[in-house]
Amino acid sequence: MNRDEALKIVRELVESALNGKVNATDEMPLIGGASALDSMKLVEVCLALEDIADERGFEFDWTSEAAMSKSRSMFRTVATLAEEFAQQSQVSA
Amino acid sequence: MGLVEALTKRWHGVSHPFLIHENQAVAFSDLQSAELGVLDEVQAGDVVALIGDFEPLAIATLLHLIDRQAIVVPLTADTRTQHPQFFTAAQVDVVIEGASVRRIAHEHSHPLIQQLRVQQRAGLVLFSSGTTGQPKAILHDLSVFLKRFETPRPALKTLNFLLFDHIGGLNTLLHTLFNTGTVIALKTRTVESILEACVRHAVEVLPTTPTFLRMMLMSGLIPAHVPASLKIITYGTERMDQPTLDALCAALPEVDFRQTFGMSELGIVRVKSEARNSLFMQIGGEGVKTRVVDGVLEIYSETRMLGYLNAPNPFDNDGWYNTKDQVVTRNGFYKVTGRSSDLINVGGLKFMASEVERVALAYDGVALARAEGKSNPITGQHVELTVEPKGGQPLEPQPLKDYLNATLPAHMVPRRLKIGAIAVGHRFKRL
Repeated sequence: MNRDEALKIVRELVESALNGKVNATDEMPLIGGASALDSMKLVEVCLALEDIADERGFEFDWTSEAAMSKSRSMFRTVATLAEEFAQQSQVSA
Repeated sequence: MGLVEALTKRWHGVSHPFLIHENQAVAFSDLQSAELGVLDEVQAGDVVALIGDFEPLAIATLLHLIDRQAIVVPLTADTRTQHPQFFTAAQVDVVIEGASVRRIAHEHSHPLIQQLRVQQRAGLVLFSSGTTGQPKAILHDLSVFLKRFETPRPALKTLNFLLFDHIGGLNTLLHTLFNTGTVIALKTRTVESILEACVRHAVEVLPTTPTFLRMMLMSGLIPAHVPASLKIITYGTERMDQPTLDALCAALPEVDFRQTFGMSELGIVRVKSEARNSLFMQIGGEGVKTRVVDGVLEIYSETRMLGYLNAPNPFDNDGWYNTKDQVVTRNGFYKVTGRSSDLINVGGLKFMASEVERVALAYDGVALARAEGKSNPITGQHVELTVEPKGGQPLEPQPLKDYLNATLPAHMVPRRLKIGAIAVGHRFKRL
């Protein structure tokens, strides 16, 4: 999966989590005070990414100790999460 | 006086059968004529795995093994794949199944088993049905375990729902033997076969688990197929939920519902339900004390096990056992609200998995529910819920999600919902 495809997936999931009321941009923050998503919605986005990864035959790891150590950067913006998702798909491929 | 001799005296002149096994009446005297050549292989102090069920030969073998000061490990064929693991954990010397017997050579000698041998006392090893990790081998001194049965108590006609390898099943058998009652033993334990046996044998007491009772409610067989003879239904070994108990009380207004609270580690403790429709219970009995520490029930029991054979001693220095059951207290009665290990913490907000399960079970079309806390780096944990639909009927996820969203506080709403089968073990407990 390339970065653009991953970006499309993450943007759609974020917009869906916000009930389609917001257009997700690449630089949209996912955590912190400026984020439109609350923490539970972000968990839902990650679980949906897990499911999509499963359908495509790879594992999206966002809960292991290794993943947690980079979680702050992974969840910074739509783009950083998409980059991580694309990267994990390539490592597993 | 040996156990067989003592029981023979109690059954002298009693004409009714002590056991109905596969619809055949078995008199206590029939046990004495059982062919027990397998016992020739057993020496005092041997650890003996006895694979069987509540059938005459296995019961006769059990009683005679106790008299031979063996350390008995009752097992069922249902757990056969785990037997090698059980034999190792219990340091089994001899395996008996029906008329076959074999000896297992090993070099182990656990100090607690050795202690029983020195004291020339019979023992009992039971296994915890732990869903995670290795089942624990629980060693009891049978001379202590059997003491409670010496006090005469009324014995009703009881269906032995719990199994040969379970403390509740053994309790029913021994209670019946000591008090000259009748126990009905079945090979198949479906809702249909159990209710049919209750009708056929005019059963008065039916010991069950909450999982079985939920299946019974869904079966559509109650109240029509419940006989008037049935006076008491007991439930235990896992947590009951109030909606299920309410539905049962409404469907069977003549039946007294009583909660049991057995922990293999503690022996049998006496329990009294506050009312038939109440989950509050009083726990006590001779040599039993209770206390609550940080919301968790702790029990002291004089009939507690000697210890685990494959795990550290769980008792504190004064003999108290942490049940890990979260309880609330009302007028000296306890209600179990969940396991302390089932505590879920979402962003610092703590709740029990059972609270989510209770709400899910109240949704029409849900038969079984299991909620779990899963770790994540964002909120610490989140809830994932698996539900099993009633009677294999389709269950639409979106309306259920909408219902959970509307009913539960946001932090308790399951973030992942799976619809599928929830495994139920041979003891009718969710796995």
